[in-house]
Amino acid sequence: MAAPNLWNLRENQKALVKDFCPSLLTQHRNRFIELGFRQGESVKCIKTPPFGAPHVFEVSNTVFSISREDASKIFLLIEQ
Amino acid sequence: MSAVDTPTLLLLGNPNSGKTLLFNRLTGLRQKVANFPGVTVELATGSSSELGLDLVDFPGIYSLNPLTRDEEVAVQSLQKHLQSSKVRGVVCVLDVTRLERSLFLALQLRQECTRTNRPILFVLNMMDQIIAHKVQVNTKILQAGLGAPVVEVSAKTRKGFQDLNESLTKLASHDSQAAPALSGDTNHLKALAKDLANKAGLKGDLLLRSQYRIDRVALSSFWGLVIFCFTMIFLFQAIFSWSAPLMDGVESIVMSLAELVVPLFGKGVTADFVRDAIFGGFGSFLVFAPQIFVLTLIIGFLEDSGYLARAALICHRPLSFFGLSGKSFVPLLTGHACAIPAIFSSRNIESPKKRLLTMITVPLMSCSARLPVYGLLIAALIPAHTYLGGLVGLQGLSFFALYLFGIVTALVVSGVLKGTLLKKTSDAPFILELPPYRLPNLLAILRKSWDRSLTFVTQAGPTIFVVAVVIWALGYFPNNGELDQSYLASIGQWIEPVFKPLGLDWKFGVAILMSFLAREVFVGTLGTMLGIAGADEDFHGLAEQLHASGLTLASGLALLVFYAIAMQCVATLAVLRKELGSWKIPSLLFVSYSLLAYLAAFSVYTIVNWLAL
Ligand SMILES: Nc1nc2c(ncn2[C@@H]2O[C@H](COP(=O)(O)OP(=O)(O)OP(=O)(O)O)[C@@H](O)[C@H]2O)c(=O)[nH]1
Ligand SMILES: [Mg+2]
Repeated sequence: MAAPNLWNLRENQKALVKDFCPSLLTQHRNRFIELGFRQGESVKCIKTPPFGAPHVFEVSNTVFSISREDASKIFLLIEQ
Repeated sequence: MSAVDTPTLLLLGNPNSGKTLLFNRLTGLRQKVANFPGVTVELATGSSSELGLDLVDFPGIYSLNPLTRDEEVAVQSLQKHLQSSKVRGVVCVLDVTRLERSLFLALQLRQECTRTNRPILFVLNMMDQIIAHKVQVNTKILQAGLGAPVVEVSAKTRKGFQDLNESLTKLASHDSQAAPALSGDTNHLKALAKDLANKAGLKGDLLLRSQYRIDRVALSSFWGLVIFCFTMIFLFQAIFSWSAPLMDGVESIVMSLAELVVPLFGKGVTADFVRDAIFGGFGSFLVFAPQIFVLTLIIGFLEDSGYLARAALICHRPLSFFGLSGKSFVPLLTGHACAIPAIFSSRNIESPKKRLLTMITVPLMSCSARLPVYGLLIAALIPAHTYLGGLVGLQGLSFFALYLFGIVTALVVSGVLKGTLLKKTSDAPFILELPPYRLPNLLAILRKSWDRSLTFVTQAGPTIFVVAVVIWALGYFPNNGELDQSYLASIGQWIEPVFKPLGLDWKFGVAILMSFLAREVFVGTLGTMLGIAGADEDFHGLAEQLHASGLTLASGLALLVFYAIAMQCVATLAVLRKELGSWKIPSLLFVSYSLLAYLAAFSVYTIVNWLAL
């Protein structure tokens, strides 16, 4: 079974960042880490706007919207 | 100009942290400030006479490893500046409401400054926001953790500026020391930032909650779409309907001035010159300045509210379909004011391919230089009928249709290029920070719009004036006012065959040709020629004269379509050359957009004539 990723989060759901898809370029992965998506960090999905628009996430006290292609490359550990 | 060795401080920080507002406050300059990340994309230098310092405002960065072009500009220039001896230190601006994120860059900058032996000062901006929420930060803890002085300010209310000025003076003096060395990689700095933010007292999402409440509506399925569509329709409708009374006002001022001034010159060449070239040519152009004012006013409101980032998000998917990005939204929207800043602002787009497509399509947006042309032709061709009790006007709708036409053309061009030329280019992630919603400051926006319209008039003014004078002289002589037997007419005969298929005579040919310098020139040129041709001494609005001159609907629509597509702006081409590093793409664009414009105009002319039969 594939690991849950950032795109799978429902509104108001929280999770911890686990790791990144190997296909993500190092430069881009580093940017995600710099923005707060680093291993063990908690992320929260704020909004999943309609029509496939980028989802909105809160991480390290800041709000980012990330598109489907990119969000699905960040794997999560979902607490039950 | 400042002396060569004026001490210089560099203003750095995250995007949207208030660097430029702070810079403007300290230098008295008016660089662009707006509520979304990535406004400043180039360095700006200014000096504070009070402090005897030069300040450099940088584009916002998330880290010292750049991802976008504007970040690249910032980081490269930072390295270069840090080698210069007059650069005394770095001022790192932090958004206190987003402290954890700000602290990461703060720590990175501190490492860099220590490495190059420069002192650093941390400025906690937006203090007014947290005071409003009744929370506090512990500056002592921050100071200890950052190893350098920290000052609290609000660039908006100017609170804390006295402390700030003292700290800046101290930073620039030779007794400031670099912060102690700090080792650690990204992960370590990130953890440190989190820890520091927690200890300093700002945890959780308290300050974000009000933003979420609005987003729940603004980004919802139904209301999100309604708000978006309403905003866009309102924007384009307002440009026409709000500015109409203002334009009428300017027009009547210009005309009464003409009636007052022209008789002072008696009868003869001078009087003819003043009437035709000055009032007919330059005056007709002036009439359209209010539209530019209204346009910048509304865009200004959107920029300050924080809504633009949401609109960009909503548009991301549809724009992606055409090979663009949600981040293309802001360049495309502001392209309606002017293509030049819009092309610069596309530096903020991560993906080089989407950035290129954005730059290529921005010139198709109906920029404010096209407004005078549209306004004139619509007023001359389209009856001023209104429906729904005056709520919807036919002329306003025509404006809207032209805007839509520009946007649709841009999307088609981008979609075609995406699928053909640029198929294999690499991509980059779409990450957009959502700024907080803020109440726009009416006074600041009014001033911004006024500035903008004034620059528009003063920048385009000289060209238009010179063209009007030259056109007048060529059109007036040798037969003192016989336009049809003038030098201009003989030149015009050469051009006429090109525009004949569109049903346009040589006068329009001349006006179109001149407007390859800049589109606004069209109105002034036509105004001058019709001024000479109009034998009577009465003053009429140019639209009225145009209507009387027998311009057909088919030719008029063809003209509109031509102007919507053609790349008639030397300045835009020059900026594209600067951003792309060569003339190849700009010259290709120039040729293809001109051809496309002509073909589209010809098709419209043919179809309308065919329908009318
Ligand atoms: N309430 C409040 N708003 C502020 C303050 N400082 C700046 N702002 C607002 O924050 C927004 C961003 O300001 P800018 O000065 O454009 O930010 P910047 O850091 O230059 O942004 P980039 O150029 O994108 O990197 C604008 O809407 C400002 O009006 C402040 O102290 N208090
Ligand atoms: Mg700025």
